[in-house]
Amino acid sequence: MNPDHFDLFGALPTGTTILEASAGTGKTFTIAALAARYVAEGRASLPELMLVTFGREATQELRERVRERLVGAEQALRAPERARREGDEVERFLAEADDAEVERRRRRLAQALAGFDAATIATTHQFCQQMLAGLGVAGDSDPDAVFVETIDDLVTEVVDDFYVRKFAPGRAAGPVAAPEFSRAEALTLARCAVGDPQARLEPADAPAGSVAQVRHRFAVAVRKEVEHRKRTRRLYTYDDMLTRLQAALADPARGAAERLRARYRVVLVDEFQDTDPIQWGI
Amino acid sequence: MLHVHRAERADALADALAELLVEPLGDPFTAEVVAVPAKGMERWLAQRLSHRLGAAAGGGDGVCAHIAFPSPARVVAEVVAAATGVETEEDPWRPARAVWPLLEVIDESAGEAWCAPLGTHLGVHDPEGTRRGRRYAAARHLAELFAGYAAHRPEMLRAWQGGPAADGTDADVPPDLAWQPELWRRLRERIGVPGPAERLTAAVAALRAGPELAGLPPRVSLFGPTRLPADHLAVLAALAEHREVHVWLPHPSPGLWDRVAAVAAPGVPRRREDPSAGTARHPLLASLGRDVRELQVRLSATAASERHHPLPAAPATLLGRLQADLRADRPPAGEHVLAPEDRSVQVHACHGPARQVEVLREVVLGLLAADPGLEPRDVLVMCPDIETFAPLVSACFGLEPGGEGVDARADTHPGQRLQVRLADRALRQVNPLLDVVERLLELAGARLTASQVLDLLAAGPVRRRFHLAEEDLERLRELAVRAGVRWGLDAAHRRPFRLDGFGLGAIGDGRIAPSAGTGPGTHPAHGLRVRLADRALSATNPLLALATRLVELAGGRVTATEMLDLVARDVVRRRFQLDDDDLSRIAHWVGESGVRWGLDQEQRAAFSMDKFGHNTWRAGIDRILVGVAMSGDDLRHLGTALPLDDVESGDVERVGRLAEFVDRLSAALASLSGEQPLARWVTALGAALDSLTATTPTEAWQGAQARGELAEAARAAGPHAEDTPLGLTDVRGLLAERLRGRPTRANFRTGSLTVCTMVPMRSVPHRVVCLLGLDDGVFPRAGVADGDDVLARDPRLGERDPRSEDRQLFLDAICAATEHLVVVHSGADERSGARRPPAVPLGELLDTIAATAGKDALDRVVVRHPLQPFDARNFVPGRLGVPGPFSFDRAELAGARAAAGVKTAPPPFLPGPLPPREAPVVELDELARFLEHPVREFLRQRVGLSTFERDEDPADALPVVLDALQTWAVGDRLLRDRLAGHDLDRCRQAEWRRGELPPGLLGHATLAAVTDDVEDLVAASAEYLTGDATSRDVDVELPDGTRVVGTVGGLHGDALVRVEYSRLAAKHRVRAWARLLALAAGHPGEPWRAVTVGRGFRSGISVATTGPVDPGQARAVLADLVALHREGLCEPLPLPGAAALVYARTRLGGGSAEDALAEAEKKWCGGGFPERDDAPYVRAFGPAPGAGVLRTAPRGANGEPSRFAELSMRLWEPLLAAEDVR
Repeated sequence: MNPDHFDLFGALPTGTTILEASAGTGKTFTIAALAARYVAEGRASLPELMLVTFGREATQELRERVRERLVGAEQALRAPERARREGDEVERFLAEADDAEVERRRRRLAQALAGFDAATIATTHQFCQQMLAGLGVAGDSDPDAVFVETIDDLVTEVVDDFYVRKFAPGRAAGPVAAPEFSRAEALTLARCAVGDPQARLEPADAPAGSVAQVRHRFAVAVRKEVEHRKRTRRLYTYDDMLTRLQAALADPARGAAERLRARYRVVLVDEFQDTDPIQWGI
Repeated sequence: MLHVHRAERADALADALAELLVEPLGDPFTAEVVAVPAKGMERWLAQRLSHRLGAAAGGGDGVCAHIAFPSPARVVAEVVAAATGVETEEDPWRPARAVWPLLEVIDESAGEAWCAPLGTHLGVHDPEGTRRGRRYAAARHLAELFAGYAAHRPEMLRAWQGGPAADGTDADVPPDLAWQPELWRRLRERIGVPGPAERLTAAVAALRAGPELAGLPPRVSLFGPTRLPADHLAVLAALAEHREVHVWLPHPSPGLWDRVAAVAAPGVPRRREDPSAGTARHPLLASLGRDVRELQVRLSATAASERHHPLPAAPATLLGRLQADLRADRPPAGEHVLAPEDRSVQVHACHGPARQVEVLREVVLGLLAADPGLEPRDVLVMCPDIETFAPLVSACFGLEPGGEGVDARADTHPGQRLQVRLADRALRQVNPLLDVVERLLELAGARLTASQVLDLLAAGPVRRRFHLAEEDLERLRELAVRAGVRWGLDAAHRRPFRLDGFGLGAIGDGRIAPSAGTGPGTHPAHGLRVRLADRALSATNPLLALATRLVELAGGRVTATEMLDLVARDVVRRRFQLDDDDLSRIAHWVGESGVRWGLDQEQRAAFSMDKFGHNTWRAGIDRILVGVAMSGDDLRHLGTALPLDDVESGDVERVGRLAEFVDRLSAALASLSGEQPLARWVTALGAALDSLTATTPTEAWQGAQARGELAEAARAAGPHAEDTPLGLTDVRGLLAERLRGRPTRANFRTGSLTVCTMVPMRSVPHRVVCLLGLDDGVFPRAGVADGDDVLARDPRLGERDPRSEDRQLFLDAICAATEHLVVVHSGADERSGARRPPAVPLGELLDTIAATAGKDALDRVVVRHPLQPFDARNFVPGRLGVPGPFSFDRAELAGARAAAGVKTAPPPFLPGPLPPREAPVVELDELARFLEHPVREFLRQRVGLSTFERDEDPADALPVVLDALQTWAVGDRLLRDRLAGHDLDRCRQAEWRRGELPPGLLGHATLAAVTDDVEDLVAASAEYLTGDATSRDVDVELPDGTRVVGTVGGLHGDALVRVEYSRLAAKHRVRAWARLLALAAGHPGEPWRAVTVGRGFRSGISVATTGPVDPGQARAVLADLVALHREGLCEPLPLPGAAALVYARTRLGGGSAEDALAEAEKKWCGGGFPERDDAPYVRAFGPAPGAGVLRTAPRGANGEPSRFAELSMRLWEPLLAAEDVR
C-alpha cells in the first residue's frame, strides 16, 4: 500500500496501518466508512470489530457516526440502482457489485444494526474494563471492586504511616537529627512512585545508609503497600485496569490473549498519538 | 397436550385464561396452577381474573380464589422433586447451598496444575493473601454458572459426567476453560447426589410413565414467559403427555410468528446458525425481538396446538401505528401523518438523572391534568437502574424514606398511657393551647431566634398540627442550624431592628421546604401516590445497612469520622439515647481528646502501627473519662491520660454512653475478624446489632427482618456453616448478595403510581408507560459476555443473554402502552451541556418513528429540555411539547419570573450608616476588641453575625507535621501553662499526652523548637512579672457623660503585663493601649505602664512598653476612642489593623501621604496573607476588596487624604507617641 496516501476504497488493510491526519480531515469519517466496509463485505461481523478512541466524548461521537453510516448504507442498498447513481462515495462503492452481493451486504449491515450495542466502541479504559470483566477468572479482577479516580488519600495515609514508623521511634537524648527528608518530600516521592507504576525506581544500588538509598527503599515500600491496601479495600484506578489487563494478556497460562484475538478480527484506533506504551502493549 | 396461546398484550391472554378457568376442575379441592414469572404480573393477573371468575354477567365483581401462582422455576423444581424424591428446599445443588461444597473443592484443588487459571485468580501462590478474599465470590459465581448449565444445556453436563473424551477434552468446552468440567466432576463427587441435569432425565422419564407423580392438577398454565430454559421445556413437554398444559405467550407480532413458523425446524441450532435470524421485516422486531423469536423456535417442537387471541385494532395515534406495524411485521412505510395533538409517543432528552425525574414528574402531572379519567394506578414507571433513581424519585415526589407514605409513629412507652392527674397547676400549664397563645404573644415583636421558633414548633399542639414526630423535630433543629438560621423571619422582619439589609441567617433564607401538602409552595406532585418497588434490602432496612457497614469497618482503620458517622445513625443513637446535643458534644470531645484513628494500639497492628498508641479511641476515651474525675488545670495525669478539660458534671451520663458505645463497637469489630465459619460470622453480626442498635416499636420489623436474613444465610450453608472458614471479604460478598433488591408482591398495583424495574410488570398493559433512565451505556446492560461462561462461547438458541433480554423488555414496554409511551433519558451532559446520544434501542425507536411519520415528526416527539427547572421555557405555553405550560412547579415558576424580571445588581452591604446606638455605658473589653478589628466587631456587636468559621470535620490522620496554626496552638498553651507557674517538665509531659504533637522523635523536634521560644518569652517577661497578678476595676466618666467600665487584670505593680506567643502585632498593641488609657484615667496618681511581650517579627523577642500617660490626656484620648467605637458601630470602618499601623508609622517617620498609602496597600492587598482576605472584610466590602477601600473620601478631620488615612492617624498617632518597642 502506498505509505503516503491511504485509499479508503482500496483493499481493506490487514496487519497494522497508521493513518496520520491533522484535525478536521475526516479521520472519524474514514473510520466509520472502514467499519461499514468491514461489515458489509463480510470481513468481520460487528462484534468482531473493536474501535478505540481516546476520550468519552470522542467515543460517543464515533458511535453515533458509525451507526449513522451503517443505517445510511443499509437504507441506500435497498435500492442499489439509486445508490449507484445518487449515493455518497461510500454508498456508491458498496453498491458496486451484482445485485445478489449487494443484497447480501445489505443483510449483513441490517444484522449488524440489530446488535449495534454489542459493538465494542469504547475508550481504552472502558475497553480494558469490559475486557477484564469479560475475561472472568483470567482477568484477575473483582466484580465488586470500586473504581476511583484518584487514590491520593490512600497514598497520603500510607506515607504518614511509613513516615511515622520510620522517623518517630526512639527516645530523644539531646538534639535529634532531622529526618533524611521531610514529609512533604516523602509525599511527592510517593506520588511519583505510585503515579507511574511502570517507571523503574532508581537508584536501586545506592550505597547502604545513603540518603538516596533511604529514599529508594521508602518509594519501593510505599508502592508495595499502596498496592496491598488497594487490593484489600477493593479499589482500582485507571492505571490498574491497564496493568491488570496487560498482565492477563502477557500470561500464556491464562489464555487471555487467545480469547481476545478470537473475539476481535479488526481493531481501529482513533487518536493514536495519545496512546502510551502499556496501551500499545495491550 | 401443550397449547400455546399468544397475543400482543397480556390483557388479551388474561381474558382468554379467565375463559378457560371459568370451567372448574373436576375436583373442587384441587387448586388451579398458573405459573407466573414476575411478582408484579402475578398481582395484576389475579386482579384481572377476579373481574371474570365468579362474576355476575356484566358485573365484573368476581373473585380470584383457589388459584396458586407459583413461579415457573418453582413448578418445574417441584415436579422434578416429586418425581425424583429430592426436596427443592433441601436440594444441595441450589447455588446458595452448592457454593459451600464447591468452596471446599476449590480449596483442595486450587493448587493443582489443571486448576491453574482459577488458582492464579485466588492467589494460591500469592504471598500477600489479598486475592484469597475472592474465594466465596468466585465459588458463588461458579455455582451459578453450573446451575445455568444444568438449566440451559443439561446434555452438556451429562456428557461431562462421563469423563473427558479420549483426547482429554470435554463437550463444548474451549481450552482455556478446561478446568471447569474437572471442577464440576469433583463437586459432583463431593455432593454425592445426582445433579439437576441427571435428575431431569429421570424426572422426565418418570413423568411420562406415571403422571400421578407430579402433584399437579390436570390443567396447568404458564403465563407470560419470554424465555424458557431447556429444563423447563423438557418438563413442560413431559407434563403435557398426560395433562393440558397451556402456555400464555405475549408475542408482539402475529406477522412475525407466521414467518418464523415457516422456517422453524426441530432441534436446537446454534445462535449463529439461527434459521429465523433474518425473518423479521420490521426493524424493531429484528433488533429487539430476539428472545421471543427464539422462544417460538424452541417451543415449536413441543406445541400441539397454537392459538392467537386478537386484540382490538390499535388506535390511530403514532403509538397505535407503531404497534400495528409491529403486529403485522411490516416495515414502516413513512406515510403516517402525525396529528397535531398526538402526544402518544414522547421522548424527553434531559440533563442528567435528577432532571429526568423532574421532567417525568411534570409529564405525569400533565397527563393526569389533561385526562380526568386517568388515575395514578394507570401509570407505570419503569427504570433499569432503580437504585440510582430511587432517592431522586423519593425527593421529587415527596416520599418518606423507604419509598412509601408512612404514618406518624406511635412511639410511646406503656407507662406514658397511665392516667395521672396533677392539681392546682397554672392554667397555661394545664392547657397547652393557652401556653401557645401566651408564647405567641411573647414572640410577636421579638427577634424570632431559631430556638424560639423551634421551641414553639415543639409545643405539643403545634407539633400535632404539623404532624411532627420527635425525629422530625430533631432533624428540623439540625437543618435550621446547618442552614445558618439565627433570627428573624426574613429581611423585612428585621426592619424594626434596622437590619433589613441583611437577609443572611434569616429563617426564610434557610430554605427549609415546607413538609408535604402543607403550604401553597408545595409541588402538586407531592400529593401523588407513588410507590417504589424493587429496592435493595440495605436501602430499606437501616439495620441491614448497619450490618453491611460493620463488615466494611472491620479490618479498616476506624477513623474518627467513621465512628462519628456510625454513632449518628438513627438505630445506633437510639440504642445509646443520644440526642443532637450529645452528638455535637461528642464530636467536640473527639476533636479535643485527639482521637484520629484506630480503636487501640493492638488494632493498629494490621497497619504495622501498633508501636503507636497515640490518637486512638482508647487514648481519647481515657482522656475524657479521666476528665470526669479530675480537673485538667494543674496538668496532672494518670498514666498516659491527661484529663480533658471541658467535661462538665452534667456530661457524666453522656460520656458514659460514648464510652459504652466505643467499647461495644470494639468488641463487635474484634469478633468480625480473621477467618471463621459462617455460623460464627452470623452470630457475631447478630450480637453486634443487638448491642449497638435499637428500634422504635413501629420499626421492630427491621430487627426481625435483619436477623431473619442473617439466619437464612447460615441455614442455606447447611453443615458447612459450621466448618468452612470464610474471610472478611467473603462475608462482605455474601452479605451484599443477600441484600440485593428482591421484588415483593405487596408493592405492586396498590392504586399508587408504581416505580419499578423493567422486569416485574413487563407486557402488563397500562394506559401510560414511562421509561426512566434509558441512558446510553446503562441500557441495555453492558454487553460483554461473562468470560467464564461456557455457554456464552457458542450460544444456542434460547439461551440467556442479558443484552437481548433488555432489548426484549424495551419492545414489551412499547407494546404494553395503550395510550402513551413516555421515554425520559439523558440527552445532554449535566455539567458540560454536551449532547449525549440516546441509548441504542431508543435510537432505533427514533429511527422507526422517522421512518413511520417522516423526519419532521421527530421534532415533535423528541423534546429537549432546558438544564434548569426554572428556565422560562418550562412555563411558556407550547414550548416543551405540550400546548400549555410544561411545568407545574410553582416554586420554580417564581424563579423563572424572577429570572425574567428586571435584573438588579446585588444591593450594597449597607446602603448608609445605621443610626447611632445610645450607649451610656461602654464595656472596656468591647472597646478593646473593637479597636483590634473594627469591622469584625461591627458585625458581631451591632449586626449579630459571627464570621468565625470552625472546621467541623474531625481530623482522621495522626499529626505528622504541624502547620503554623497548630504549632501556634502548642506554643500558646505551653506559654500559658508556664506563666501559670507549672514547671517546664510537667508542661511538656502534659503536651505529649494531649495528642496534638506528632509521635516520637517527630514531635520531639517540634516541641523542642516551641519550648525554646516559650522559654525565651518566659525569661524576657520575668523582670515585669513581679509578685502575683492583681486586677483593678475601672469606671471612667467621659466629658459627654458616657462611662467606660471594666476590670483590668494582669497587673504586676504598676505594669499591665501581657505575654503572647504570637509575633507582636498591631492588635496586641491597640488592646494594651485601650486598657492602659482606662487605668490611667480611672486611677490617676499611679504611673501606669503597659508592657506587651511577644515574639519578634524576624527573630528574638519584642517588648512594647507604653506609658505612663497623663490622666487628663488619657481621658481625652479614651473619649476619642469611644467616639470611634460609636462611629464604628454604625458602619464598617476602613481601618484594617496592620495597614493602619504601617500608614501611621510611615507618616510619622516623615513619609508623604502617597508613600504611606502605597505602603499600607501592600499590607492590605499584597504578601502571602493579604489583610483583605480576612472574612469580616470580605463580608463587609465584598470579595477581594481592592485598594479603593483605603482611598474613600476623607471627612476632613485631620487633613489626611482619605478616610482610612484619617482614622489610622486618629488611632495610632497618640499611641505611637506614648509607646516604645524594643
